Amino acid sequence: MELRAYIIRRLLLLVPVLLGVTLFIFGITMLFTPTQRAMLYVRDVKQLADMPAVIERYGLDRPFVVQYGNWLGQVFQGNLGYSKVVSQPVTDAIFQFLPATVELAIFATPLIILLGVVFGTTAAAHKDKPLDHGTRVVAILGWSLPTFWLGLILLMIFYGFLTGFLPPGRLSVQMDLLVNAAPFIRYTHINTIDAILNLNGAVLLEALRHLVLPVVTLTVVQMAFIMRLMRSSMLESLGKGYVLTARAKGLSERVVIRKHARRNALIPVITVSGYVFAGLANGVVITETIFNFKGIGWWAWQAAINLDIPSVLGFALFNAFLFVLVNLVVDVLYTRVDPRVRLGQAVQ
Amino acid sequence: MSKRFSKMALLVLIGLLCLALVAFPACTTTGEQQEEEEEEGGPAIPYKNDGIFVQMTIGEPETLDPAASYDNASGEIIDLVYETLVDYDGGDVGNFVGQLATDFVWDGAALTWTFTIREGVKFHEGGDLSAEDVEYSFERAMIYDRLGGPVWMLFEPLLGGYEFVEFTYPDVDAAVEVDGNTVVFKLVEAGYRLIWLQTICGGWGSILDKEWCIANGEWDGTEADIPNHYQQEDGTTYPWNNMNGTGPWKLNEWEHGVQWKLERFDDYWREPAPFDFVISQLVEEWTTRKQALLAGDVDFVLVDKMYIPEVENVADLTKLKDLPELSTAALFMNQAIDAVDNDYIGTGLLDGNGIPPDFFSDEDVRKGFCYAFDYETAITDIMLGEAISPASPVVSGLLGYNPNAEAYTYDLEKAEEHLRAAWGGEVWEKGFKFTAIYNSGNDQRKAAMEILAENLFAINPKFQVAVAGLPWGTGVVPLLRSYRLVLYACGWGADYPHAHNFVYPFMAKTGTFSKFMASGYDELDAKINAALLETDPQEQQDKYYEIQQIWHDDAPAIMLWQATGRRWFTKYVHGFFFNPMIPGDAGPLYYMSKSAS
Repeated sequence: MELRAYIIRRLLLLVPVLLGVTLFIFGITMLFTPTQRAMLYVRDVKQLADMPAVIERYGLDRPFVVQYGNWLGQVFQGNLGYSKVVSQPVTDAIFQFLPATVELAIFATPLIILLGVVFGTTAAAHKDKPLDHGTRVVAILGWSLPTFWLGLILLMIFYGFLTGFLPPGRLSVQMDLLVNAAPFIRYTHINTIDAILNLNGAVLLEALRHLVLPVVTLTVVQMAFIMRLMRSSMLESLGKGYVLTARAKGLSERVVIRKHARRNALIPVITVSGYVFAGLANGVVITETIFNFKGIGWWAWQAAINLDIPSVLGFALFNAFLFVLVNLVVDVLYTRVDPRVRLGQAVQ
Repeated sequence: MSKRFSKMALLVLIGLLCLALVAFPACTTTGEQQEEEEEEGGPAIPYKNDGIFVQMTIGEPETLDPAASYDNASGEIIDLVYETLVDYDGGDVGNFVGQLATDFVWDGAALTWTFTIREGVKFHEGGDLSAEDVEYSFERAMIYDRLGGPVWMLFEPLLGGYEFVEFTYPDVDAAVEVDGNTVVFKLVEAGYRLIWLQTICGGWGSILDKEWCIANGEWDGTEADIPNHYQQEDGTTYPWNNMNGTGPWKLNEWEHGVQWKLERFDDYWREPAPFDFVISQLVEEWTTRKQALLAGDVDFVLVDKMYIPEVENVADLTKLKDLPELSTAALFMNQAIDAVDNDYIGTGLLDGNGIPPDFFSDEDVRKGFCYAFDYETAITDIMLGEAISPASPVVSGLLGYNPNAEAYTYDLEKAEEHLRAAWGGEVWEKGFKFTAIYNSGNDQRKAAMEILAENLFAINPKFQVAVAGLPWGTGVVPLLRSYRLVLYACGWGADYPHAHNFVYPFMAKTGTFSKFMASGYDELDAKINAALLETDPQEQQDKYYEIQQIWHDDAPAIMLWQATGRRWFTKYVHGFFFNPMIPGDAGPLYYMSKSAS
């Protein structure tokens, strides 16, 4: 199948996916009573008297179909509703919080994959030797460490004990004022990229300094899974006939591992890596909260705990879109890694 | 695999393990180590961000529109950017000084306040302040009348109602009139004279630039345009996200959910603001706030009571304590519970396995409960000493407060005496069982209920109160509104520092709390109204004293506490004074400063 047609077909699949996801979430929120859902607007006990008017204003007591239809009608007009938790339209909220999350994902994902692949390969190549055991310990540690614990510990050491060495937030106060004033131009709101585009080394270094702790936290926690997967996949590859053939031909162990075994072992890792990126890009609540690196995960979490339905639905749309897109990219990547795979067909 | 590659991998592994080893002991600091650090006072806090005041707090403004703002976080930024006609005189909530008004005169015969508008005042976007701006700001607030907003406070003294639909535009127009360079407000009763000044000190009394508003699509000042702006949806008014005040700082940026930044307004009519920038960051995580404070990256952080020990002994902080907040909390006893589908009253009968819906209508039950609560323990153990015990809703600091008001004390003998007499002795004989609800997450209220439950059980093991938590929005409020809560805890903070603002919600028939306790009655409403409208200060005080005595005699609720506040600044910040009506926690920033010395 031609690549373009395949991509279009997959993108068209987005429509039923998005409808299904929003219908499901909207349906769940209908389990709450109108009064419960009105609490988003009536935050203080002093506003209780206005509860009936709020229910009436937002149509919270209307039938499910009417409410969903109204929301869908708004969406088709490009209006995802109003996010009460951050007091701005949902689309604005997505655009505001996405850059921070994407910045984290951009830096954390390659590190997670790279270290996971390197350690996984190393462990497999040294199966049942000290290096293998060592990587297993790291994997177990990383996988079992609660993110909030690790994050707080890193913060206490590198920000607290080392007096401001690696601070939380996205930029220091001074730099934040600088990037929001002329002549600095916010092209993407991703600080590192904007710093490069503005040729401003000071902002770049500052942004990187603020990225270290959240990226390390995410890497330590997420890398373990890739590492274990890579190890298993490598062990399987190393036992295959073509690896034995390569060895029999007298190729060095380095070449056997790099050119023959690892390339094939990467296929399952590619699948998982796509989801690692998608998982990071749709927000990592705890990391974003601890390091005051407010991204889309923090916003979605706030929306969920406050029953901010327009925000939750907006986030769900974004999330579904992201995962469909990542799936698509992974499928295309398969064809590059494994020539046997053809788009739209089963593996021959 | 090359040996070099393996060595590198091994080195990285060792590095990660070392990190974990360093980290583990750090997180499991023993109490002894903690104490040592506290005794040493910790490392010096460095001086940073000269000319910039940075705070970390937990409140995100809901809106920047003064006419819509009814939450503390919004009030804080509005207070720094906009100005009102008058302001409190320092920390004294009973005296006022002119701000945008140079003079203000009361005419008792005409029931009018006349404010002379200050000349030469500029708005941040260049407009000149005029009397028309003042008239427009108040009228716009009233015709907008945001759903759930604060404007009822303007309607009550000006028109004797609570919302715009009760009146016509000519009514509103007539209540605020321009006369030359003065603005005249006509009140409905002389009793509102003081309350009016207190009310317009709040953010809802802020003055906006009429031309700026109209140019940006706001109400054009005509009756015909009112339907386009009456109860506009949240987020749709221009001032919701934009600011143009006359205050010492102007809005630099509002990064929703993250931070807001203000910068000094160079054309300010008074002395220039002491800080070039004021930045408020929203940081929910306590450890992050604390480390930022200790690193000197922020000048002020919000410290929850439970974390006070972590900063109490830090050397480089200015610590202020025992600041009496104008707020209180109580345990309310519902005298007319709705028994339908109500799992919280057991059998719904006085048979030892439940309570009847009117259980608390017996005065002896209520008084027995009031005596069974251990007020001192609550303040010492629950509030960690950061509170005082109020006798009634008229708390210390309010005009009308009686420092010698009769209060309930913890007295199990008296509690027993009343409970033996309750319901003709049936309560004592058969006992009762019900569930008290608190909003989950509020451990202070939970603990208060548990104290009461344990003490009642100690008096008579047949007295059984279960304590359960429900989410505030999805659990407590729906039950409250449907009169199905038996015993519930709620708090109240001042809108304006007058006894009426507390007496009404706690005691009137239609009060916010008393309505859901069914505790109000006509005779009491008449007394509340009489106290409000009394013009003689001494007479008014006497009337509020009487109401406080009625509270004691009726015992409709158990007064839990009046919190006292603390503030934590780095030692470089100076000039703080306490006024409980200043929104936010950082205080009167215009009067404060920051220096390395």
